[in-house]
Amino acid sequence: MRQALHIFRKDVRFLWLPMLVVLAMTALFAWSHSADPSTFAKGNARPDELPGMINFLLTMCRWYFIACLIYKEQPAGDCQFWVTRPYSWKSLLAAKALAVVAFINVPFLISDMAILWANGFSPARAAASLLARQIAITAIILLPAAAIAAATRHLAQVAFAGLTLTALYSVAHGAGDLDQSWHRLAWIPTCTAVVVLAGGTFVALIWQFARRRTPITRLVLAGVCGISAAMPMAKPFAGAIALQSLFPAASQSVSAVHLSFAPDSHDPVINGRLAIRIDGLPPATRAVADLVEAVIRGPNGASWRSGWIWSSRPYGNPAPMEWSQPWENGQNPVLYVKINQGVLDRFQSQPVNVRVSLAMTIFRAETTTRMIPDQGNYPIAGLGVCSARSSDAAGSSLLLCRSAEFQSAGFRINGQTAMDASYAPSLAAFEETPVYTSWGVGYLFHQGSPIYLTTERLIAHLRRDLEIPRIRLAEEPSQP
Amino acid sequence: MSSPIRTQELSKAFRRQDAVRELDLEVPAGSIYGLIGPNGAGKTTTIKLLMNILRPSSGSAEVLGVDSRRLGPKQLARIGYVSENQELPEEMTVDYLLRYLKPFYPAWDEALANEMVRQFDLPRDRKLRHLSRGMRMKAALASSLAYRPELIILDEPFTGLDALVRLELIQGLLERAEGTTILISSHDLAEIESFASHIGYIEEGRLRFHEEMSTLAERFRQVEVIFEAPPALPRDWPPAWSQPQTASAVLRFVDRQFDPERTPAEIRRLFPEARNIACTAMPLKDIFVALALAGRQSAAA
Repeated sequence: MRQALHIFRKDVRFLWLPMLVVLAMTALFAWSHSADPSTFAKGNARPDELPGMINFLLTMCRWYFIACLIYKEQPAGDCQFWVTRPYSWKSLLAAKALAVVAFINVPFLISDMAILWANGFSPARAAASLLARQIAITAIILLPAAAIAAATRHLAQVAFAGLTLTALYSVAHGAGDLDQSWHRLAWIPTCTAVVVLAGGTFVALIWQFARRRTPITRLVLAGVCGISAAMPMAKPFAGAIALQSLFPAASQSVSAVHLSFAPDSHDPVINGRLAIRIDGLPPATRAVADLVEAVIRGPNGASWRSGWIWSSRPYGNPAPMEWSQPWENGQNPVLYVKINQGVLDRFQSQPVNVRVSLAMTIFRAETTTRMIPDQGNYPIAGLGVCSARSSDAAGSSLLLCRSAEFQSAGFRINGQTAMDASYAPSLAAFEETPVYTSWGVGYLFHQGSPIYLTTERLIAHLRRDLEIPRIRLAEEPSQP
Repeated sequence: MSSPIRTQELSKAFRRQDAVRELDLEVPAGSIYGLIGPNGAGKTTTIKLLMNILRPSSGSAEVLGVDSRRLGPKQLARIGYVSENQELPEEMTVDYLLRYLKPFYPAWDEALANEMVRQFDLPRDRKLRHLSRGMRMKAALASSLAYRPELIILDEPFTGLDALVRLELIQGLLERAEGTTILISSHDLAEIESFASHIGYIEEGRLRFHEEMSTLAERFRQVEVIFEAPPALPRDWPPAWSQPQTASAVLRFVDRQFDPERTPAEIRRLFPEARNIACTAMPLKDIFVALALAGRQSAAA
């Protein structure tokens, strides 16, 4: 520890300029987010871009500082002064970690606390969220930056690696279509990618300081970054849905929830359109479908699997399968799954076995609050501090809620769904500031009338399967 | 006392290029071992392997009784290392460098460090980046001798330095390192010759020979034979004689296995008409050239 402190003092002495820049940028960042968010309240729906720019510069400054810090005793290369001196690699790494904690983590924590305080939240009550943000910034920014610096020789290489990593994640995110494909389960590939990235870079960092085997470290880093970036592209939905169903722990029994086939008695011709009814929902709850999969098994071993599909996903033309959100019909919402013509042609009017699997989220209505637009803030359990504003658009109201912690609650305005919520751990919900914002639009009966905000609590994520034996998807042989 | 440095079939390859090949080296305790060889012979790579800066591809090296791959802070606190291509912490002043290094070495001698700063005339408050190359080497040497290391490893320390600075460095080194084992690599043979007790000659990654300076100097002779008429070289020309040159009635060659009795007898046997034989001692530089040429000839053969 003595050696670590000795090296730390030396680093502080010779890196005072980048340290000062990081501290100044952190202070600027805190200031930019501490200002009253009145721009939003005045109807400016697009928040000021200044905080985002400052955040970007702050991230660059942090990378630069970490690179300078690591380069003072560079593990990569074979001409370094320190390598032939009696340094303990553990002390050296501890000294670097100490500098990062002192000049990045602690200022970041203070900045978060200042932002919370300035926005009317108690930092003490948001301790868990603040801790999660520290873990997130360490995993997403600090560890990768340190590992890359440890495996490179020049700042240009760090910049190149950083740009490559950013491009890799952007391309993979786009190709993996994270939000569209994974929808409410997006936190799973996100968290897995973060865990892989943090774990891999941590191991690479330790390895490089202990052994100084730069080529191997570079290979490990490339592999870790590649695997991490590819996470959204891999789509093991069945496993992800099983995982999702564990979070949050169901606060109400949903064991009775099941699916049933509900053909329309007035129109017996199915033509690929399957009505699936969700039965057994607990009182005052509603179900929202997340992903649907259909498997068709025909005679002679012919089969077809749709894969897990989210309704809004614009698939190819023609889409092999479409479905619509459950039609809310009291306690028995109905979901329509439509198998399209191209698939029907394969099975024609032969009797087939169909299995429909549905991943869904159950919400329960909680409290309803009467709010007058433009009349101050309303503290609402599960959402934070909310305010309703009359929007410029006639007859609508904009609802803005801010909280010191990520909220997994949704809400309805005047009985209509304004925001569905989903479970996500704080790591996946990491955002620029510690103040989480959620918003929705509601319709007013007339200008100045109150709105009724009903919070919805997430009860459970679950999966249900339905076997439909020996049905004919098309009554008439389809035309060639 | 065991050898502070010992290697066994030490090899290092960079991709498909062999830099060091099956090197068996033993540096006796208390010796000043000059590792000489042409540029690219593998001297620096060998030293980096010894210092655990590089890892061997095969074979092994022991330094102060420890496998070089396990060389840690305990051993490094007993080794002084100075290299021509070492990256020094250039933002530090000479004074700060010495103060910074002091806690790393339990045996650090403050008085000795100050004495060397004075002897080398080092400007205490000047940053290393603002020092001349010679001054930087002096600072590096001072910071490597101040803890009285048991083993000093110097990699081409005199390259690019003027004669005065070289002399100061050598004096500083010899005055402070009495009884210490020193391994010094160089292709600057004149300085090595003046103080090395042992010599190892490395070429193409292989240790061609190694022996004590005293026996080496006795073994090599420049031989000049005078005839009445230009001589013809015999077919059974001894392999230990190299670089034969004839100019009218004079034959010159290098005898790499000189013996005061055997060599003249052999000359008289091969050249009965020889009128006069003169054998003169060779400077290390000439020995090195003779070895290099002999190595190339044998490789070509």
